[in-house]
Amino acid sequence: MTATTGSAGGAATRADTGTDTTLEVDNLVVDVLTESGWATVVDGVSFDVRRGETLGIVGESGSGKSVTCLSIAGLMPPRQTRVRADTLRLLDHDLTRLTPKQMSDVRGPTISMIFQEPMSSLNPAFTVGDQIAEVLRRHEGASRRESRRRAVELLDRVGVPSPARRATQYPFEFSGGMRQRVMIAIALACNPDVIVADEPTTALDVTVQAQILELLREIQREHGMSVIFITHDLGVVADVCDRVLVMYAGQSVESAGLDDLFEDPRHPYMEGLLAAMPRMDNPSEALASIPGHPPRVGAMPDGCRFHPRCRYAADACTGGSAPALELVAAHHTTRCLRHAELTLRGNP
Amino acid sequence: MTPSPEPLLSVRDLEVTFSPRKRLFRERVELRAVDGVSFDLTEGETLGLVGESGCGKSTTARGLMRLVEPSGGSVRLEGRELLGLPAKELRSARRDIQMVFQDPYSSLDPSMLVRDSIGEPLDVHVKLGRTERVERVAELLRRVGLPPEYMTRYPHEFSGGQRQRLTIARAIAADPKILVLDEAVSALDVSTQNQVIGLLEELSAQIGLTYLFIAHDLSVVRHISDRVAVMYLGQIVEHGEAARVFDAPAHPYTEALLSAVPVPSPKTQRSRERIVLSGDPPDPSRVPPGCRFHTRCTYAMDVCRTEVPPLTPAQGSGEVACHLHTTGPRLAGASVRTLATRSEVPA
Repeated sequence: MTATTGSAGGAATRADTGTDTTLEVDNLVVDVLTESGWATVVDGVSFDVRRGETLGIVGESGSGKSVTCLSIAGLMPPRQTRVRADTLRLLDHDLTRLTPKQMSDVRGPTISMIFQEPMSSLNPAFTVGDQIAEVLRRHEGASRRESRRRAVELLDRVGVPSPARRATQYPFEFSGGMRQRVMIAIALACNPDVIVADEPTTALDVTVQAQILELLREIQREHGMSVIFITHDLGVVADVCDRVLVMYAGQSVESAGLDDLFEDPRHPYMEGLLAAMPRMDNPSEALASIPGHPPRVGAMPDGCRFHPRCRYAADACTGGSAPALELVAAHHTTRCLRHAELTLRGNP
Repeated sequence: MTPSPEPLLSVRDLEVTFSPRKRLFRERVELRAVDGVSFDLTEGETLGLVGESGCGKSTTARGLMRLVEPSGGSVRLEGRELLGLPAKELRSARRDIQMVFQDPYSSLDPSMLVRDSIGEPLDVHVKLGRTERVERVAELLRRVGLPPEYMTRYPHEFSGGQRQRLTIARAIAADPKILVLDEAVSALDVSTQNQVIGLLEELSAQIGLTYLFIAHDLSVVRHISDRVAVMYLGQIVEHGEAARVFDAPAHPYTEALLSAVPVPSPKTQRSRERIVLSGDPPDPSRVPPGCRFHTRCTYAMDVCRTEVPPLTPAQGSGEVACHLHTTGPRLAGASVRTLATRSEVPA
């Protein structure tokens, strides 16, 4: 890929600016326009992503993982979304101040996304090569011929066999795993600083998932980019992430380094998630489940949003505003009032 | 598989063939989605059927229920042959085998009250009076852990987990003996998924239901199954008791499949050996000669490219179809993991 490192920035050149944090998010709030007015779907998410690391974002469906990342990348529909934050910084760009047009220029060379369903993110009417080339032409002003050549190189890099021939084919001619490789090639095209992978392997078979995870690992090692990996599978988290952010009901409730979080969870929700994962290597354990359901948007409980499902909930947890995020150890935060009194069970 | 007690369901050499046109005006190509699948289901047990997409696990289920017409083989339910049964008799036989699908959003009619969705199989198979029907639906709802008042609601008022409970209530309405669960918990969040698995375990203990549990999530399959069968390209390559298959896989495909599942424990995950298979599963319309897995197998030998391996006994329980057990290193049923290195195998 060295040959394709673009002049319009990229991980290598950005490293010179000296900062170690590629993305900084503090108190992100996202409102979305629904039929019954504005609803707050993300309400207080804070995290940062350092250069070259993989941050996992975990949580159940509807916890706001995807909306968080789409908002950061400026990919939510602008008229139906309000994004606010105390800090929202991507490299040296203050994202809260960018217009949609400016954001669109910033996006390609800095942040790109890989989605769960590659079939719906690829245009069925264009060849795969054209779709990669388009990104290069849009963001780097590459010529038609140059962008085609680099599209083939990128396909080769992501492990698509006979890339020159495959570049002339349409998405329907690719298997699910191969389509995901094409998506990764598109995401890589401008050599971004951050790649957001939103459940990129959820729709794939396990053996293909293993191939794609391996590919992402390799690419990250080569380019030193940051990866935000959204998933609900704690096995995948244990396999690829360095640090983890746990989300519940639109809020970040815990964040820590991978081993810390699994060995010593400090939020009852994370303890519950760990206990609920069926383990192939430990089948005799009964499958625990967290009782009840996550709250609906617009019907958030008072106090700690997890309290109606929490086995440790005390009176103090049930009223007032949500507990604040507290630092409980180095690089380990939790949003639980009782964290100091509780001894939670992990899964080292 | 060896029948110990009289099997409830006995499937032999099941074949399902499709003949899609690859292109308009071109010749039809024959695609054998299920190619000689045999297994038994004993009363009260859970058989897990695993494999990757396109391996034929769902088609096996559909074939044995005759939702697609098999092109060969035999399916016996308590000794009675289902293939070739006339439509009317098939309908009564189907009462004993019910199916639950993955997507609870599309398997409930959105315009029908819960009462009628669940009551429908009763109308077909049991024919109850109005009050009896309502009572029976109430009982079914209680059995799947939902309050009976829900019977006058519509499906859109329920969450995914609750809907899956409703489809289970409907599936057990006419007292079937066997439930075929095709990725029944795959679309649910882990916590909800566990609640539904708990319900299934409860039902099997209470009313002695027998399950054919089809899923791609191996952790879930290990948890719920007594026995497991692994499919690759339309055939069963290995089967046996769940603990034996997971702890001592005898087929290289099973070994690779298991190694690909990440374990939710960073320490364990870092220390595990990972076998990353190259390539995608081959196109089922162009099945490789010899062992179907040889194109992706890290142990492939010359014999694998030409000869189809027969099923031979695996150590502990079940059977395996792999030449390593009869030629080459002669594993004779032992786990492939007993091969110290992959280089032990002659190229």
